[in-house]
Amino acid sequence: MSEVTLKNLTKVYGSNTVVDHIDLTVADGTLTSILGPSGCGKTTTLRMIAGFEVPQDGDILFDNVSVRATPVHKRGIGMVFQSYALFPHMTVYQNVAYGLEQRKVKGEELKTRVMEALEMVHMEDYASRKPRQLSGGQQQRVALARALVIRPRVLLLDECLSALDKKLRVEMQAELRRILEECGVTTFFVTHDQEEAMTLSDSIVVMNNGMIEQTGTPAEVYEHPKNRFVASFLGKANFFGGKVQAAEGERVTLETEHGPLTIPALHGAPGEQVSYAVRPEKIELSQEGDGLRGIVESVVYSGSTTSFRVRCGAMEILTEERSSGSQAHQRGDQVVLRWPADAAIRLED
Amino acid sequence: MKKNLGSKAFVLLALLYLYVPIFVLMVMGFNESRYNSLPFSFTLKWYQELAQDDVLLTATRNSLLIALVTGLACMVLGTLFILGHQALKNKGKQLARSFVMMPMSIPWLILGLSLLLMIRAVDLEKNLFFVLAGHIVISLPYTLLVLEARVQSLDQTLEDMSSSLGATAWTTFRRVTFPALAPAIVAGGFLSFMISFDNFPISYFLMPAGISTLPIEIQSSIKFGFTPEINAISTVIIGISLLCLAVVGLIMGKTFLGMIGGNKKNV
Repeated sequence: MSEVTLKNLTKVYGSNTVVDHIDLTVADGTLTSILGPSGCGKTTTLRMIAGFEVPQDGDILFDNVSVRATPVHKRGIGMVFQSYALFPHMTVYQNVAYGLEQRKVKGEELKTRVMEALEMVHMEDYASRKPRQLSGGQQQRVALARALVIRPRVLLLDECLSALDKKLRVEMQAELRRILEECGVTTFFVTHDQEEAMTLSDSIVVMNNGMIEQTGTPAEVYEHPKNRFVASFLGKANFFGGKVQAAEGERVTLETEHGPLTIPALHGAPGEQVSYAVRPEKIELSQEGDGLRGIVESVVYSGSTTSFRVRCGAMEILTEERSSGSQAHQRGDQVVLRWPADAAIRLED
Repeated sequence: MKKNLGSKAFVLLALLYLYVPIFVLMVMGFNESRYNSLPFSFTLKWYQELAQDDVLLTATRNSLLIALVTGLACMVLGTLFILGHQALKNKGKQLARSFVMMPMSIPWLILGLSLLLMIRAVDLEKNLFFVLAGHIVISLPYTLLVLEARVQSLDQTLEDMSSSLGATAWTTFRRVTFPALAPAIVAGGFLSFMISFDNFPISYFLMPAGISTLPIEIQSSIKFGFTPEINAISTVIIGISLLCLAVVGLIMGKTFLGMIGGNKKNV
């Protein structure tokens, strides 16, 4: 269990910089999700922390000690891959015992620790099974027990829930959370699923094009995305951008490519080039009053929420509200859009 | 319905065409008549004669021995190749594979002849070493096919996993890579054993004078008008071949199912 620091970490394949000088410090015992689209460098970063890939530049420190020169098998990491990678010719017990045997744990202690690990993931009754006799969820648990039984300094999870179906995945998320809290191991979790990252992590690292776009708690990253990429990758967002023509109180008039637009927003001085994001659920739809006027183009009902696509001139705005049972707004209705000024997040780009 | 019946009849005909001659050959091995003629009367005479036929038995022993050495050599070479092959990159990888697989697309007759011509050209005597070399060259591709299928069905992250758990490269090979490959190595060995055992052209060209193999004996016995002893020995060969295939199927089939059903189920 260690604090992990990445310093100026860089990986280049040919002319392609996959991980581009990233810096990151993760506190001992926390769960950090590395989130990003495929090809953003998240898996390469994980593989560098594990030691499978050697960085061209930069350093990796566990508790302020460089592990750059430490080979994988001495680094003291636990890993779970998307494919689980259980050894097919070994039983569940042998799979879990493997890492301990490499550490010369023998006899009673070996047996006790293996069984403890299996109990932790509720797989103690399956010790003598072969991996192929287990379901995906069960294999997942065994893979986790195998990674944790060696008491790793750092646990690395590579898209390890993506192979499960949705219902099982949600169950495993809660289970994973419980197990990791029990162990208190510093964990990196690579995923492209923003929902998974939000529910599981203490902090989220959003990556794109080999660089870190933003780091923060799930709430920070969702409520205060720094830029367009983060705002659109985590959840949905409407974007407003242009030069400020006038600002009075909490209302800003923007010179957009579609003409002038007055929206509620706190920041913005006249003449400044600005860009805002507004989350769909922050926008309130009503029949009349002050605000942006538009026409409902489509209504999508999805159980607990209903989302509306509203056309305001040349812009299309997405809003979302709790389903009320009766449809308040129909396709083709004239509506007015309003949101509190602090719902407009000022973006860097 | 009519079309269905037609296609069933076609399949039946094809199967009959394939298996009736073999069936007849096997049955005639148990027939009294020296000239494979009817009526059928059961006898084990030909098997008894076979048991005393030193020429055929020696040839069989030679064939088994050559096949055994070929099989073992292919197991070792195939394993080494597949392990080394993984370390190669792009072009070299393709080239190395094509090089080893090539004999599969060259007719054995030509291959045997060219080996013979080469031995003559460098003025060497025919000897068993060349026979073995020829057999290994033609059998190795089949061993590799089996091994490649296995490697491809294996989870590529197993080795990474092993080292992350603290195992050295050697331990990883000993405890993960080799056991995972072992069934395919054995299956590939049996396959090359079989290919070598009933190979005629290579042996025919390369065998030193005075030594023969079973296929060569069968071929030459036809010249003198063959007795149902040949039927008997052929039945034995079919038995051995089927046994080898059954072993390959048993090993590979089971583990393939295991791999697919076990690890790839949810992907």
